[in-house]
Amino acid sequence: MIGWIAKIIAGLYSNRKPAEVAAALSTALLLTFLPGANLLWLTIFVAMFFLRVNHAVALLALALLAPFSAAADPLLHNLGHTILTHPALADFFTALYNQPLMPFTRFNNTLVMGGLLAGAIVWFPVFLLSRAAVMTFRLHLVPALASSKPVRALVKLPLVARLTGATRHWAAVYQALR
Amino acid sequence: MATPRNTPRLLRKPLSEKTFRKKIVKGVYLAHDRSFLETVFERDQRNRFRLRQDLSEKEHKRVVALAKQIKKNRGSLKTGRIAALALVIGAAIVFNVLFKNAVLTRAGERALQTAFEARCEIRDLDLRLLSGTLSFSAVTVADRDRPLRNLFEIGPSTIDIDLLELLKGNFVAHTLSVQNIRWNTERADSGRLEGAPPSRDPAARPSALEGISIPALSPEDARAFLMQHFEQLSLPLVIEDVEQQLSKAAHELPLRLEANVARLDQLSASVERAAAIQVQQIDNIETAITTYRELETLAEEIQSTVRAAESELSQLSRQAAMAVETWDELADAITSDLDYLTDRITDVTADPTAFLMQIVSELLQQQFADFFRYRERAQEIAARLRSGEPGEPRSPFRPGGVDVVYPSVTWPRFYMGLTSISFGSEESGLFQAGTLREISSSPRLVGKPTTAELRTLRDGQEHRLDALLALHHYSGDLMQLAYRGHNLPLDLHASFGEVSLRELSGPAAFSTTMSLDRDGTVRGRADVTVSDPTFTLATGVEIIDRIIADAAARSDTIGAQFDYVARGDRITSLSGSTTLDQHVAAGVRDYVEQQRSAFEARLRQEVNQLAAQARSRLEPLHNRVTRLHGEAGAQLQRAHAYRGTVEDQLAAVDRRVAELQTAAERRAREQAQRQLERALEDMPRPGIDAERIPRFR
Repeated sequence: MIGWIAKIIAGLYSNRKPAEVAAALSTALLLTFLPGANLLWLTIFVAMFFLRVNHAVALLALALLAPFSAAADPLLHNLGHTILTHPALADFFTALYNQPLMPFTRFNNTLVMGGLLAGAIVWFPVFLLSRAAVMTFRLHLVPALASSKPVRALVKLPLVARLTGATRHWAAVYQALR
Repeated sequence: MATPRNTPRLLRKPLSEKTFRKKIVKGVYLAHDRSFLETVFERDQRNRFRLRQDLSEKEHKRVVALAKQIKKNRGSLKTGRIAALALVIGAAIVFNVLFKNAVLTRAGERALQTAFEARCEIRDLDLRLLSGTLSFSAVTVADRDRPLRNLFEIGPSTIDIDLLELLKGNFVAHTLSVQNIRWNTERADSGRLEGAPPSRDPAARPSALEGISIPALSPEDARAFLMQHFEQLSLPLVIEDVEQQLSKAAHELPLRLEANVARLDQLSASVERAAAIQVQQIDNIETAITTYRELETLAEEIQSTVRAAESELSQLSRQAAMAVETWDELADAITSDLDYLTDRITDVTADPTAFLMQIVSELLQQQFADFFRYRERAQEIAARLRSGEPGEPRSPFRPGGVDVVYPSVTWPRFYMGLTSISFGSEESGLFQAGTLREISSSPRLVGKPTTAELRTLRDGQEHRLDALLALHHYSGDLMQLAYRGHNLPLDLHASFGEVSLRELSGPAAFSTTMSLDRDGTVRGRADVTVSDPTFTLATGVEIIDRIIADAAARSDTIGAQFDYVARGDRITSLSGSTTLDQHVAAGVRDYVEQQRSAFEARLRQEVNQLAAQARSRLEPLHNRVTRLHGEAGAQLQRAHAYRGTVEDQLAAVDRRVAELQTAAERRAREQAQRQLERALEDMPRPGIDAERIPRFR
């Protein structure tokens, strides 16, 4: 458990690209909006493992956001229904529906379409914001905290010592806290 | 000073400041690592950044680690994992080749179990993806309501699937071979799913044939039958009326008659006195006139009394006559009541063979119950699979969202073009051939009706079935079905409550046409002919069983034709005729007529007995009133006689008065003539014209 937490902390505070964490957060939000059990969700989820995305952060975000996804369902349903039943898009969706594999994405489901659309809209802003936040965290917040007296005192506690020990092979974290 | 042996390639060459800042410093994202990199690089003579050569071992290691991290941060793909994915795909292909059939079998069984809510088995399923062929040796689907029977069973079958359409989510099979489709077959083990609700028991339904019987017309029951209809008969009312009339007459008439007799008795002295007058002995007018006046007064008195007596007596006579006449109405009432009761017997026995149609109705009812059970299950499954439409109003939110279904523009989601089945050859005497056309999930997209043809020839028996399912239209009959069967072995046993069909056997020919309209109404016609029939029915009425068996034995063939209309699982209209019905009808009719004659005779006897009892009770009253009627007539005659006597005497006196008056006048005229003649004789005669002298008349 401690090792798992250390991995997440290491993911947040390491020399890895901040975009990995940002992409993890924004993709987790997209996956939260999308209902599961369809080819679209599965494709995005699987693709995440082949892209430079921090999986630990993504899975944690997914787990944390999932309980709140149901609250957004009525809004997503309305959004999806509006798009799917828009007369101007009927031909497009009909053609799309008749393409191979597309029916299995369940894009014609109101929640899937609403979730996809909402997720796509918020993905880039969330990505930019979270990347900036990670950069701020790494370059300014952590050094400031690490040099503060309370944190130095905290590091000497046994539990925190174990935590830092677990993250020792991530030298950056270790060094920052040492 | 140690010289690093393996300087990372990234850091070996001198770097311009721009490259150093962009690719090296900004390649790490921690402040202290950036600071560290700034310290391990130095500017050369050309103002380019070069890694310091005097790095300690520790610094060198850190530089190497940072270089690795910088390199790792390049690009967005994880090539190692992509390679691993390729490996996994390869493994999946191998798995698919080896295990796909087992996976598909389980998936198919689960899907069928979800749809039919009963255990399903798929055996020897084989999917070949490259050729798009799916085959299996058997599919069995248990009946949810009868776990030890299969709802249907399919034998060895093969389907050629269009894979491209399959990737579009469409199941398009241009050809299909299905063998040994069977319904309602037995299962070795129970088909009930764990946790499934208990099945409905079809035997729990009440039988429609309970209480079938032929009317029993036992002569001993005539009195009960008479009592049953007693209130509707006229005879009791007539008897009561006669009794009232006679009682009233017997009570009132004697008193009134006695009063009139007394009145006539009082007149008798006067009448005798009048009768005693010797008219011819009256010799002068004054006496005659006096007598006449006396008689006239007496006559007026008698006339008045007699007129009153006559009126009273006439009334008495009429009343008595009426009371006597009501007596005669008893006979009319008996005739009328017998007609009424005979009609009631006719009502009871009007259609003695109607119960045969009830048996046919129940047989068809059972068949329709099965048919509609299949239909209801199909409707339940269709409702469960139903989705939204693009044009429909906004659906209310529900968990899982709403699927907006777009029309398939090329093929329906499910389509099978031509499906044919055949076994053996016509020459071998064992032949089965079936064809299904245009089965699809969207018949309107296909634009053709779904049709089915099935022909079976086995051991001289022939079956032919043609069906048309018009799902591609919104109107007209939903389904049309035609079946013809020849030389069918019929061996029918059935039980309906108290009635059981013990045997109906013999080679049969059967043909039927049936149509199902869109509100679920079935209309059909069926013709059945059974040759050399054996027909045994146990109705609980021995005579009916015997009559039916005799009728079947007499007839070479039993023919039947039925027209039926059914809604839901009930037959709402059934009409038909059978030749057996005619034979049985004749037998039953003879039997019933015999019973009816005996019953009618007994009924007549009972009615007559009822009337006789009433007659014997009312006879004294009737006799008394009749006697009173006679007495009233006698008294009336007496009154007539009194009045005649007085009137005769009065007329005689009147005539006598006239005679005496005439005689007196003659005498007076003669006397005057004589006096005139005497005076003339005394008078002088000259010049007197004797002819001019007036003469007395």
